[in-house]
Amino acid sequence: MWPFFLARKQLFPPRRFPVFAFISILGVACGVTALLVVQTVMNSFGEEHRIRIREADGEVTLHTSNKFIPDVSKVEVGIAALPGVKAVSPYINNVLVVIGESEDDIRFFGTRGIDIDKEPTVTPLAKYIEYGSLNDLDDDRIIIGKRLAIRLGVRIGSRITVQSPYEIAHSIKGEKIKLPRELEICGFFSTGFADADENTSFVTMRTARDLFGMPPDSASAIHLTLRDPAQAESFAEELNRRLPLNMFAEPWTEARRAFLDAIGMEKQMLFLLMFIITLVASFSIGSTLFSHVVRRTREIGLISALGGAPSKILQVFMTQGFLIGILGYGIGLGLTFLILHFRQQIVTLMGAEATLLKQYRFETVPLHYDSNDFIKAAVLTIVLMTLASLIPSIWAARRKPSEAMRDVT
Amino acid sequence: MSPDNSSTPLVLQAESLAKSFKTPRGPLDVLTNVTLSVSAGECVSIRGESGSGKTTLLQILGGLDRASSGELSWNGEQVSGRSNAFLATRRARWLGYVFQSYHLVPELSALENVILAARIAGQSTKVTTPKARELLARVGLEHRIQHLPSQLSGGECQRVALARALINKPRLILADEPTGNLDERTGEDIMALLLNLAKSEGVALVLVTHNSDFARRAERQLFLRRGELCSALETGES
Repeated sequence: MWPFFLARKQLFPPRRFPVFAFISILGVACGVTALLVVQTVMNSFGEEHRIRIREADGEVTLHTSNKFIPDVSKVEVGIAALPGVKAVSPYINNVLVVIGESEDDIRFFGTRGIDIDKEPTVTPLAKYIEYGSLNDLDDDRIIIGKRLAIRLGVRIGSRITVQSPYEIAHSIKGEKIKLPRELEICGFFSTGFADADENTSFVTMRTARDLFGMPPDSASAIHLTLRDPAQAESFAEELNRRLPLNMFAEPWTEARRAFLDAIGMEKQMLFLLMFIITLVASFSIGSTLFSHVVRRTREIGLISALGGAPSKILQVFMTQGFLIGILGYGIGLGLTFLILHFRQQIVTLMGAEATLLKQYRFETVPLHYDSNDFIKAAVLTIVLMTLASLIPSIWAARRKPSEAMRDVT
Repeated sequence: MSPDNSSTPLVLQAESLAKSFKTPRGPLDVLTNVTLSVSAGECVSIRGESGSGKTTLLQILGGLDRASSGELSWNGEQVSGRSNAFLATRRARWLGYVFQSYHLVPELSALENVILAARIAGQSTKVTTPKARELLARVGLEHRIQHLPSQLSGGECQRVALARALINKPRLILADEPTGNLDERTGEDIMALLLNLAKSEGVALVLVTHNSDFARRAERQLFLRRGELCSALETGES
């Protein structure tokens, strides 16, 4: 394949710095890096949220429109018996008020009553507990998020006084007054996701039922995992056909859908923006390649005189565009991995940690590679660069050899 | 203009070639009626004044340009009116070119420049490399095969061009002022080399030159006047 040989030699002339190739390849590499870094970071935010949602709620959650699901054990057994179900665990979700030492020091945070034996089969809570252990949890203890602990100024072994809004409401109505309950902090967890770490706590099912005035063997919801997580939506749809009207199943994909859709849309818009940037770069490389081809008019005439067919001349210059695309993508890929490896340091250097926490609720920049992003960028770059070289290549191939020779004689 | 020996196969046959260019002041007839036959191994020189159309004629004979009218055959095969791709294939196989300005690819070494012509003609590098080395040795450049054109003198570049013209064992070499850019002594060397190589390889040569000494060394001397070829006898020049 002499066109490849000649293209390689023209792009990287021996004993000379390849200025044209260097500028073109660097331009493409910068475009590819911008495209891949943005895509990967946006993808990581979305993916990390999805993981958190699945880890917190399992793959499908059964909710009730009533205050609670009665006889939850029976419901659990029925659900567990359904084909495809891997594990089931009930829970109680509500809000607690923590009462500080002064009258004004009242704070709210979420709490989840869990079944200590069943919960680990559905969610990986244990892996996020940094201090203490899930086994330390009993009816007089509570596990809270690390950021919540900082907010409350407490440590392991500290005791906090909590009350549920349910009890407060009853007190206001003048009904039987129940005293606030004191719980000992037996563990901190940290997921790296600010929403969870700042606002969540875990107590036993019995404590939760007691705090929220729920009868024995009741729960707010039941969450479950499936043998095939990809079937979550169809499973929930099928389950909803069988459930009574006051209950409904929700797949994890529906939870925080608006937020995930917004991230997805943001990713698409940024892809479009980066695509336009890459397109502009390809036009610029197209024009550089055109002047490169014009400078080679004498060689085009020579190759024709030596018997090079127009299609082969086309190949010589299109191969150069193709090589620029391939090498630019390769270098861009390397730069992308480098930047993503030092992503946290870069965010710190830019002073963007607060924005990261405020906007995306993460303490550190998550990282999840999506091979589709890389394949898409590779195809886009190589096709665009090859197409950018098409017009100058056609111009070169269509030149009459006699005219090309006359240009230099 | 036909060769004397009619039994030798013809490598080039041009019949009533004409070429005119469009200009703002109307068509410019450069060639009006050129008829030329070149037999295998024959050496023909063409002289003419500047602007008489020598280069245009050579380009038409080599298929680099198309005649406005007339017929052209290479090795008995009609080539006028055929596609560019067809002409390119035949050119690679049958013709060799030597230009005034050498036209070497600047990024390729002397050896690679010679090999390129063979690769364009469809030969593999493995087969042509020893052949290219041998040809470069024959033109006296065995010690400079890895040098780039920028590292060679004008005479050396033209020697590389000669080796390149011969690598595909062409039937015909078209040489357009091959000594035009060289000093007298180097020009003499190159011309001697070209004529010797053409003779030893049995390749026909059409030589366009201003130099009457070089032209006289050809078996047949022709002049291009008013768009037509005529012999030295007809013009009274020697």
